[in-house]
Amino acid sequence: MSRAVRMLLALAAVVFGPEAAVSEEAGTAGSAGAAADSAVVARTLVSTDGAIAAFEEAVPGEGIKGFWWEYDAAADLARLLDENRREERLEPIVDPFGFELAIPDTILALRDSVSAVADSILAERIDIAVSFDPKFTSTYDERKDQYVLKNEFTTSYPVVTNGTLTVDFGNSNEYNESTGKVKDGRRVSSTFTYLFQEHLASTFSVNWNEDRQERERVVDADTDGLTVSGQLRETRAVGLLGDMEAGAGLSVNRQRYTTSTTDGESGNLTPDWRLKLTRAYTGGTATMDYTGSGGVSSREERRTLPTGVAGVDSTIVDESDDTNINNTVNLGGNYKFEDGTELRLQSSYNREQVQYLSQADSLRGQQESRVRDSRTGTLSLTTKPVEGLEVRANADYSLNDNDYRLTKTLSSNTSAKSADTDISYEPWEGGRWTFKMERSAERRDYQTPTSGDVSKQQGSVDFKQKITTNVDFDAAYFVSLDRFEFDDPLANVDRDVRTQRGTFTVRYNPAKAVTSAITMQVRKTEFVNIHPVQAANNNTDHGYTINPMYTWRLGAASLSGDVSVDARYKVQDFQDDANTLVRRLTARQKWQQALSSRLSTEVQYRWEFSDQGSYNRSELDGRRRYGRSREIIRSTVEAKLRYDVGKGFGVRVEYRTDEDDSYSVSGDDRELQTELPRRQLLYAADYRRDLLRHVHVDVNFSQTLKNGEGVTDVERNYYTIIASIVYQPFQKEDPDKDKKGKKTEGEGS
Amino acid sequence: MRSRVPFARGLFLAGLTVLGALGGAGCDLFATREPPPVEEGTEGIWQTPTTPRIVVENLERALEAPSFGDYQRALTEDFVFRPDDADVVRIGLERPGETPYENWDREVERQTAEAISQSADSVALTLELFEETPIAAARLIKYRYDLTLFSAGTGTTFEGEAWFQIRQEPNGDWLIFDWEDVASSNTQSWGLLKGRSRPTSPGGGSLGPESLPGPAAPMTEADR
Repeated sequence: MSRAVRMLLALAAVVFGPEAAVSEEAGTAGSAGAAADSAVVARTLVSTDGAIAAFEEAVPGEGIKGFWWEYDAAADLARLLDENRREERLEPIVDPFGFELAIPDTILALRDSVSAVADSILAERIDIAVSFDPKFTSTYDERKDQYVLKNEFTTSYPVVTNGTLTVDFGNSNEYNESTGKVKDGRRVSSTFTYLFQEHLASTFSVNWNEDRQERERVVDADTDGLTVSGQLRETRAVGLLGDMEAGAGLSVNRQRYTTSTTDGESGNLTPDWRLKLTRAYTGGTATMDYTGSGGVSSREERRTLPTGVAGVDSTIVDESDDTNINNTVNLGGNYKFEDGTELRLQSSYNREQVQYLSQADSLRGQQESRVRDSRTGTLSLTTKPVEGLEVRANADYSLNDNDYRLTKTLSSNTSAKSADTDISYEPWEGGRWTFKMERSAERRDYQTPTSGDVSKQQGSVDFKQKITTNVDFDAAYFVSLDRFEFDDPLANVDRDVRTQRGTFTVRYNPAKAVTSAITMQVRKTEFVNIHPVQAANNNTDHGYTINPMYTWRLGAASLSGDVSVDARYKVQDFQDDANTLVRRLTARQKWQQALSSRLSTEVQYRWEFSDQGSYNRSELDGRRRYGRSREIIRSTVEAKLRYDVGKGFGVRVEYRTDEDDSYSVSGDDRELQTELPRRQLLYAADYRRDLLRHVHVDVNFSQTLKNGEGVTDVERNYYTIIASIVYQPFQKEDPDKDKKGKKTEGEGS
Repeated sequence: MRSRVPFARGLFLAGLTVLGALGGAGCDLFATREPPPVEEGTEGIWQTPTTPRIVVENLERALEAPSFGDYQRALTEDFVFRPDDADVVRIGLERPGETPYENWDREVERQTAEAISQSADSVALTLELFEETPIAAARLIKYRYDLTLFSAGTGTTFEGEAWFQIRQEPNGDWLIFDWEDVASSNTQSWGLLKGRSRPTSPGGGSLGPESLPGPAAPMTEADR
């Protein structure tokens, strides 16, 4: 049976599947460390916060900045859905010497995705409490010139059998010393949840909030609102359709607002409804989710407008009655074949109408109406058709239409489509090819001259080869093209930007404790404006870099360093007398030492020399000549000491000195232009502990002292304090508390 | 039973991939267009940003020229714009159900700058530096701005402060990675103008069913 026929059958299985068996793997997608792939590599865990983990590299260069990173999405989701853990401050990810590591952006992006999933689950979840469990939380956050104090009390109480009352009070106060801005907020919410039967639940909520912003005692914004809402929800199995969740609700809201020019009141009444079907089948799950709402609202507003006469303003009163409608349908499904091939399909449709009083001065008093129509679709495929070959592919499509009845200039119609694929292939022992290709195209129709097409093509090929047990190399080529084509070439500038990059790396690891590598890179970026005037800006950037580096582990110490030689010259395609050349030499050395199991130190030195100047053709022989005009010398010395006192208490001290000297150069003459010496001392303490069994204290404190050229008063001496105290008098002991965040061995694929 | 592809076939497939990639690179897929001859007397505005202040000057000239390729060049790939909290409230009243300031990246910044430029006959920007300070491995530079849009002989002015965080990229260029707008109580700010002008803004809710993200594709040397 061909692959295409199998995929079609998988899609058909949404309706005609033989049984409703739940797939155990359906909910664990995204857990990079939990995949049960055949190739499992044992790596030593260095640090973890419970979801993000850093391991020592099994093969030097395989990870990011010397570490192999993994993210357990399921564990992070579990933490975010646990109300006792979701606000806790996570342990920082540290290197073997205890100094904090920067988490890669790709891992942080995965964490953001999981946070969004958790938020959507929490918004729908109905909890029935079994005991009274009040919680008081007070937090203080001070960073330089920004001060924030928050207090919160929340509790749930089972007032009747199958009925829970949840109450939440909170207030926050913020002040920024540099801008003079003050923000105060208060909120009170109360929710009664009642379970009529196992599958029929209801909620009734009352929420009040007030927020005020001032700047030097002048009110910038002041809002307060009251919302009363109720909801009924039923879940049940419905035969072939799977599991159904249906709900209906009603909310009534009254809001008052004041800004520098406007004050008003609005009220709305909005019923809403929902139907969700989830069908599990062997190998996957399919979901259909429909939500809708339709309501009426009214607004009365007073606006202060200048009359053109100094000190004289006029006040206008406007009213409107509005109708708002929203319908959204989401479809999704996934299927996993026996050979491990995974297919995911998602699509959504949304139509929304919003009416409101126009805020534009020329349209005051008139009702604006915005209708938005959105459609999206995503298809993802992951497969390993033969051993050694892995293919990932994604395709996306979206269509957005925004129509404004009055403010036509904001109306738009945009469509976008994109596809990308990654192919990894291991043709022989020690070799690996990775081929990536991405294309996207967007059509933008605006009511302004900026309508046009934007497209992007990007491709790369990467080849790794192990030569011997100690030597391997990596060669890569990357090219991308961004293209802008406007409908009105007179009002806009069509342009292309092409980037090419070739990188070659050789790694030599003579012993387990010593790694070394040398990387060479050639770069070229072309900026092409398709316009007779703007074409004068056309230029091509050429860059060449050589970067050798090493790491040497000596028992409880580690030495590492690298040298980088970089040359960049920019050629103006149509102005040959405006070319520039920048050369740079950088050297870095770092020494880390574990003095004991609790005490460690790190010293780092960085030195940089760069010069720059013109790179134009000589009139004598037509060859480009370098005319140096500027020289910069920078150096940085940084020393850190950290001590783990124990029982949740740790301290550290850091000292840093920077020199930044700039010279003007003319022939053999060199004159000092600017000198920027700076010194910085930081001392910090970190303390987190449970006191008196039900009180949790968490304090992270540091003071930074700086002096030198250009250091402002705010930067000269400031504190960074993140402190919280949580009192939960009836909290039950968590049996897994001591096991959180601790692992002895990790697995990665 | 699957088995490893023989060496010769593997080498052939690998070579095919390289040829395909190079062929793709060499064919029209990655080819740039041919620019027209340059108009007499015109000069480029972009200066290599070897210092933080030069990149802000590039941004200023690019907005006034206008030259939005250069405007975008002044920003890093992970650029973010942060509006004043008071402007967030005002835009919430002017564009209810939308979240114009959400996910404000480099691409959105450029689009909005183009929309602002197209809404007027000309744009004049004045930046007055009043504070520059080193922060970690970057610089925080604060400017007071005066942005005037001229249409049909009249001008509309927006005032406030722009706080730029600028860092040096691996290729040596200083680029802006964070832009915070600070409004004042009695004038309209550039951030408010941006919130009004963003061409298409995200809706109030998320689309798509909840599902955990799949594992990320492994990084390669080409991505670094």
